[in-house]
Amino acid sequence: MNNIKLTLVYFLAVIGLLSSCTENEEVPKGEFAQGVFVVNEGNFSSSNGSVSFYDESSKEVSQDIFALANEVAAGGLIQSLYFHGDRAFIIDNLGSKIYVVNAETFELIHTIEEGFSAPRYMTVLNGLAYVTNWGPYDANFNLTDSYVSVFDLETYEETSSIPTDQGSEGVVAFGGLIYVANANSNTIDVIDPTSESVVSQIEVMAGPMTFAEDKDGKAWVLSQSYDPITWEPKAGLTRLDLSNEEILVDFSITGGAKSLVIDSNGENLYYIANGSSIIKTPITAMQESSDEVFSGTSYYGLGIHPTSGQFYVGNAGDFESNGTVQVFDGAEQVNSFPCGVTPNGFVFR
Amino acid sequence: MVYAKTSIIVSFIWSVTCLSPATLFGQELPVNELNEVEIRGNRMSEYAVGAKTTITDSAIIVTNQPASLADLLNDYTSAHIKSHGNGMLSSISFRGTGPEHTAVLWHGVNIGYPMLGQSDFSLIPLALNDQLQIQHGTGSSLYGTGALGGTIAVGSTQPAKGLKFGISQWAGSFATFNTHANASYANNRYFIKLLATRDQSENNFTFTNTTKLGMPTETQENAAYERLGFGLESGVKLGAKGQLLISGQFLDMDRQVQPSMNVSDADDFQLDKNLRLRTRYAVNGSATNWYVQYAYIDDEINYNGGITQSNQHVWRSEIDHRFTSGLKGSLAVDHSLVGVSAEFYQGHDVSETRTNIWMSLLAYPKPWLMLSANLRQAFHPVYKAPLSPSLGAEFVLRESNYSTHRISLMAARGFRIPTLNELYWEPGGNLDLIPEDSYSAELGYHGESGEQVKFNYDITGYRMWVTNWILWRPNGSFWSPENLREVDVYGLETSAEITHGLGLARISWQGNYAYTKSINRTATDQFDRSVDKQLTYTPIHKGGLTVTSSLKTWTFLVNNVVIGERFITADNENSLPAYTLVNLRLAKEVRMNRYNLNIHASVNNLLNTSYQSVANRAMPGINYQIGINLNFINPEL
Repeated sequence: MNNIKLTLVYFLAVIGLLSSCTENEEVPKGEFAQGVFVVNEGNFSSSNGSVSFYDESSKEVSQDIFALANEVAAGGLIQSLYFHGDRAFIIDNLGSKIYVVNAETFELIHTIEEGFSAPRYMTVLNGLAYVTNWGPYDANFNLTDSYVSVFDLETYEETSSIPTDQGSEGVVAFGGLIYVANANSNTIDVIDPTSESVVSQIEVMAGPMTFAEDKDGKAWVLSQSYDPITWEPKAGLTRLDLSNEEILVDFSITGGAKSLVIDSNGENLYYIANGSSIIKTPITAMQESSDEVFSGTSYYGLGIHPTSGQFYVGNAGDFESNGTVQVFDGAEQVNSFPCGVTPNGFVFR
Repeated sequence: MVYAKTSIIVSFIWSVTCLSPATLFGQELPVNELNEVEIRGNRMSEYAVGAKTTITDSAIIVTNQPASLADLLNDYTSAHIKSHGNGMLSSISFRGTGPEHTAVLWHGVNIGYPMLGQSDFSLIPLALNDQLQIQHGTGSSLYGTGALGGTIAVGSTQPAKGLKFGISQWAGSFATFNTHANASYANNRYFIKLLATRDQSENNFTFTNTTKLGMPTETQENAAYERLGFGLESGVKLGAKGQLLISGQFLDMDRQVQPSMNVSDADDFQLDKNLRLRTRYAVNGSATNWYVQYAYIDDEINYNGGITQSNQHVWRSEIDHRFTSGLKGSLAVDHSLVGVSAEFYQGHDVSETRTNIWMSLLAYPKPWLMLSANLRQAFHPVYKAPLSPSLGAEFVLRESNYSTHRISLMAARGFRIPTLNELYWEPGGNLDLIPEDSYSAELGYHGESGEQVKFNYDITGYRMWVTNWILWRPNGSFWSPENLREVDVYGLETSAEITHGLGLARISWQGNYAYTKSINRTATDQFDRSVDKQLTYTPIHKGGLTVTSSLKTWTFLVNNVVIGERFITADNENSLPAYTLVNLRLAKEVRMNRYNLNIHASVNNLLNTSYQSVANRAMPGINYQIGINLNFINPEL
């Protein structure tokens, strides 16, 4: 793995991958110390987001582990899950709060309720957490007040709030700076933690959402937006050198794309195309790849297991039911297990 | 993120909440000729032979006056209401179907939001709608689109002769105040009735927050509402046989949107405005009746400042003729223009025309046999609507002075045309949709017996198969509706009423129970665990018992409803537990010449049950209301 420390946030599989490489081995203690975490967004009307846990050795699945550990369901819309040391941060987009839980037991340590408005993802740099927030919709369902809220990891107090372009989504720390993909615009904001402000912007294809780091330490960004007239999705991949904010490669993708991940060697990118197929793109690509690994229906979240290299796909079914995680080894499905409603991502630990 | 934006809107629309013309012939009765066409039973349409009909007791409507139709249906009928909080958006599931599968009619016109194909029952105050008829099961041949699970006709009765004024004031828990007023005058030539209602509440009830550690007791925030409504019913005789009828309703509801329990700083609001006007010219002959009617419906929803506004012009004419003493029939045509100006349609105004033709026959070839046949064809520029027939029969098995035993049979095809959102929503609207289609059959037994102790009972079994059920799903990038599901619905509805004396008191026991299986038969893929499972928010069991006792000028009513477990995920792995509600009503009437004064006291949720109608939405515990109602009646003026 490259020695540049790049923490990737939008897609959680990648976070899991990095932390398992860089942190010291500890003796597993808690019930959920080691395994696969499935982030289940839940649906809006029932506000039933949850986290499922899959124990790879026993092949047992525990549903809604926050409720198991704390006897109340977190509920809300669980957008993402971020592990940092012995704590995990569960981001509730609907309730605009973050549950801080013990990373191994999921017992609630603290609920942070101040400072968020439709929070999405977070990353950590120098003892501070940076959380992207969409902010409220205006009357026309447009975002006008997106921002990054910064809180202290010890006190859980908000230390600052930094306005960004609209739809601040994926966030990564790199070279002492914070990079924020603004999904409702066409920019990546660069935040300097010392001045607590946006110091520069990188223009990319409209709708940047996801970062992934390749073996050369370059960042890939997945964008998706819509044609305002035909509503056809317009997606694309951009390869960036974050150190000088230079765009190295830039190409569009036909159809819709989401959930960018990269394999543990940092050589091949994968994403979900049109909610139904997994496309493989080598980091040497200069244009859209047509290399479909496998396909199915209702694909909503994607992860790559850091050691086995297996694909974990969140199948959301009818989006009203609990979903299914399908596990593929290459193109072959080797396992499947039930999860919660609308599985949008994975963390491997 | 359009994807998420759309999913939020779609979820809202799902959670919130077609229009097609329908008839309510038989409800329009000329002044002083009430019940002229009643043959047997109290059906919503005389051509609805074989269908189960529920007429809600006027004592129940009067003692529940501050309530909305949502509360009344939930507490007293077999229809299930899904409420997103107290006084919030309330959608219906009737006979196991979805909210778009119950037609709500006002003077025969479908008043569901045309963008959503459904009604919010919290927007229908009883103070403006003192007449309520519920027809169970498929009624598309008579009432048009969306009448799959049932049809509900709301409206206000025509006034009795003379002059009448009434005013009511209620006050209750959570700073809830309801003010109602009505005035009417009728003579042999004309009538006019005016209704007004204002209902407001801080709605700051306390609840147990089951989404927080330790389950603390909290006070509900952002749930206040104010509902203002006006109603008009008027008519004048023109010549010997003609009659001109003019009716109107206007409703303005301003409410904060009660958030999910795990949201603490919500500030969403919704403003609904509904305007309904209709005028009808009717001619009632000895054998032939006909009318022409024009209705205008204007609805506006303002959600956090984003406004969608729709309007409908509905023209209708119907002719009804009695051929012989045992055979009559009708023919009707209905044409509507539905338009929407919607920011959600990306600034595009959408309009479409819909035409319906339907005919009915009613025959009673033997004193013990009644038959009806109805047939409807709807026409639409985008898709082809199915031809919808229905056939009904009622057999009198035995009839004497004090007892009647009847068997009823009905078979029907129903349909629901796609809503404007399903067709035109951007992005996702799907012009390839076709109407939902259903086949159903039912068999019922009805008995009445007794003189001093009266006993009525009723049991109906039914089965319905719905195909092309429209489901919104993410279609790669955004949500889009598709004709996906097949749903198999079967169940049993039973109700009984015993009325007897006890000393000087008169006591009535009304019970009902519904067993409803509503089963998804389609899989979206091999991992779909919703196959052969009950649809969400559809209780398998629902039952209620209402005991009304009246002694001289006192009325005491105990209402008890039990709502069974409801699944909140389509795979039936997560559910909300069953709950029981008990409500008490006490009324005392004081008569003083031409005045009569009613004093009401109510206790709602006597058992202080903590329950949820929609997952993670709080509902109030025990609460109280008192009311006073003063009427002046002079029948001789």
